[in-house]
Amino acid sequence: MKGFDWMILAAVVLMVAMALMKIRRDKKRGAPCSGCSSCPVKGSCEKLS
Amino acid sequence: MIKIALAGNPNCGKTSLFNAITGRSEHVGNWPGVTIEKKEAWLKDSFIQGREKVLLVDLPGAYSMSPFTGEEQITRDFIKQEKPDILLNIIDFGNLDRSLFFTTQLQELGIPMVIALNKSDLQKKKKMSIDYDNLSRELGAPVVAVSAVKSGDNGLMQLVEALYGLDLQKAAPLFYRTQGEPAGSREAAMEEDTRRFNAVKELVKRNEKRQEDNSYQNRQDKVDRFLAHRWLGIPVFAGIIWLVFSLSQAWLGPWLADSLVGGIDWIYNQADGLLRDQLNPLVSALLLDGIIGGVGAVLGFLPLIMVLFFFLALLEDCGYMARVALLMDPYFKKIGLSGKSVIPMIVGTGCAIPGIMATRTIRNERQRRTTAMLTPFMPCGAKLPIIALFSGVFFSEKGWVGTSMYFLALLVILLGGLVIRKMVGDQSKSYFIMELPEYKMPSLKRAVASMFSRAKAFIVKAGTIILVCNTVVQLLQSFNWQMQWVDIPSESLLASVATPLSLIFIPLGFGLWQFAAAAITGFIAKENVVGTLAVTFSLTRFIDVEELALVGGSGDVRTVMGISGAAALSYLVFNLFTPPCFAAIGSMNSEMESPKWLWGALGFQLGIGYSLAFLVYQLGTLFQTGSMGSAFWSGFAFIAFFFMIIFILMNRQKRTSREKGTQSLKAVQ
Repeated sequence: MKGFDWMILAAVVLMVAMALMKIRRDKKRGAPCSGCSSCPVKGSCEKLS
Repeated sequence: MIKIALAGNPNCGKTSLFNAITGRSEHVGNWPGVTIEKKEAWLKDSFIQGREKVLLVDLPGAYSMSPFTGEEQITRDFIKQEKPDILLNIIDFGNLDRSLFFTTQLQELGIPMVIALNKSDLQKKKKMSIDYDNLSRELGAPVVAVSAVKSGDNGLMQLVEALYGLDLQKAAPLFYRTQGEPAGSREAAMEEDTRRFNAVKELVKRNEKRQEDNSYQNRQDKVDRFLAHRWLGIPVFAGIIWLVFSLSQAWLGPWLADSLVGGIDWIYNQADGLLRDQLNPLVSALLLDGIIGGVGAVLGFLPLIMVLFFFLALLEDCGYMARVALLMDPYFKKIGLSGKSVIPMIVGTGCAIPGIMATRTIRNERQRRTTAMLTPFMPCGAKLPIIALFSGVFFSEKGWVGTSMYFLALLVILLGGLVIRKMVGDQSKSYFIMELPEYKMPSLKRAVASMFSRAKAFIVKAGTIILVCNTVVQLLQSFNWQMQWVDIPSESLLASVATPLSLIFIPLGFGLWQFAAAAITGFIAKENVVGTLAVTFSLTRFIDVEELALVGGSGDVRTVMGISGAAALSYLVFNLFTPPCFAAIGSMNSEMESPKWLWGALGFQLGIGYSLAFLVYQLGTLFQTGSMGSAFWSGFAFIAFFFMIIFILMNRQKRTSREKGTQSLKAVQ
């Protein structure tokens, strides 16, 4: 792999890491899914986590 | 900090008012029981203007302080135990007498109170007027007319001023005082309620003027005689659902999707042209096929979802969806449920999780668990891309496929409810009393807000769960067990794991490892089915840019997937009727509060999904070719086993009930 490959791979890893962090943040907040913004019970599903 | 609790009867517009003064966008609906949990938010800065901060708590609607449902209990417990600084009692302008009954009970708690008469914009239409000053004097609390959904002069500023102007140390004087000791017996409680109600009626008589004009109400009743008619209402409902699905999947949705897909295609082609030859095959596969291609394929369905939720929001806001609950009530009663179970199912068309959570409004345990078990059968928003993909690729009548899935779900729910009732043996009946909201012109603003809210959730999901899953699927498809790069996906790690599983799908017509892999990732999030199919079949677009519609007939996708129409429909049915995503299963676990019920529910959903897919494929193949599809007998053996278990459980329950009956007869003798 060349330097450019590593750059793109780093970008892909960063994207996946950010997505995982967002999922983790949602879970910590109590949301069992990442569909919180459309959910009628958003913020009230702590019981599920 | 001042803590204010919003309390009032169901469907009086508490959440609309809460949203208007906090700037939140909590889900509102034109039917009672939308809010099932308390929600908190800060008062908007534009209202505070440098004064003390205010925390508002939106509570579920309640008719009285004697709770009948779980959410009424939440309201009572919060007010009694957490003692807010102020009670903001919201009253429906057109329903003073019923609403003030609750107000007089709230006054007894000794908390300072402000009364907001919501929906005051309707006073002209209803030809009525209220003497606010006198009502305020008699109740001993400020009364402010507001209209939460109106912009401009909506009375909200006056309401906030009234809240700030209140003396927090001084509770409002009691308008009605409970006579004698707190009621102990049922009769005494009823007498007390009657006295209170009569006092409230007199109060309303003194302060409200209504012009006797029934034409407005008669018009509403006339519409209801047609839309909520026991028999006529069903074809009307079917027609409306067909129209909504056709608009979202066959007409408006794909037309709007065209430009988005064109954009995604352009990005993919540009990235492909620039990077494919420059990059290592693994890196290019991850970025181009996994992320841009896979996520892009799912995102292409965004306009279809937006159109569907825009029209569903209009139907909900105009008051029609509440009629659907009423319409379905007699059918649900026959299976031991009631119209109350319909509401979670309607909520479940957006997302199964809040739908399942909405079952907590049902008091009867068996009915609550049964509804939580059946709600995921409704096609939720996440399943829509699967419906759109398979109906678009394999069938010319796209609108009908979506509609028929909706009604197949209703049929499965009705039959499933009946079977569960027989297995559990609880014969208790429930009564469904619902205050029908008035028909009104739906708010475009609210429908657009609901649509964008769903769109945001879909994009967030595409950028998180789906992106991660597609990357993992692409990685698993790029290597074999020796961690060596493979050019042929069928030699990959993913294929070797999914191939044994695909064997059980042969009787269903889609015994290919790609479909098995997609079905598994679908349990993480149902949108993943489309994303995984895109990655495993190396497809970057499911929607044809040239024809302004989903690829149909002999289009590319159909050829690449290499399955028949019957198998495609079978795959669609399998994904719609097998257990929902893990998050929804977690929600089922929480609401059912019984591992036995949860495992039973998962087994039931798996058996139903498999059996339906088997029937669709085998019968479809029989009609198309004149002979049964592949592996008929092995599939038949599976569903025979499944139905045998159901039969045994039903029979055991019947025997137990009979024995119990004999024992009680002997005891009587």
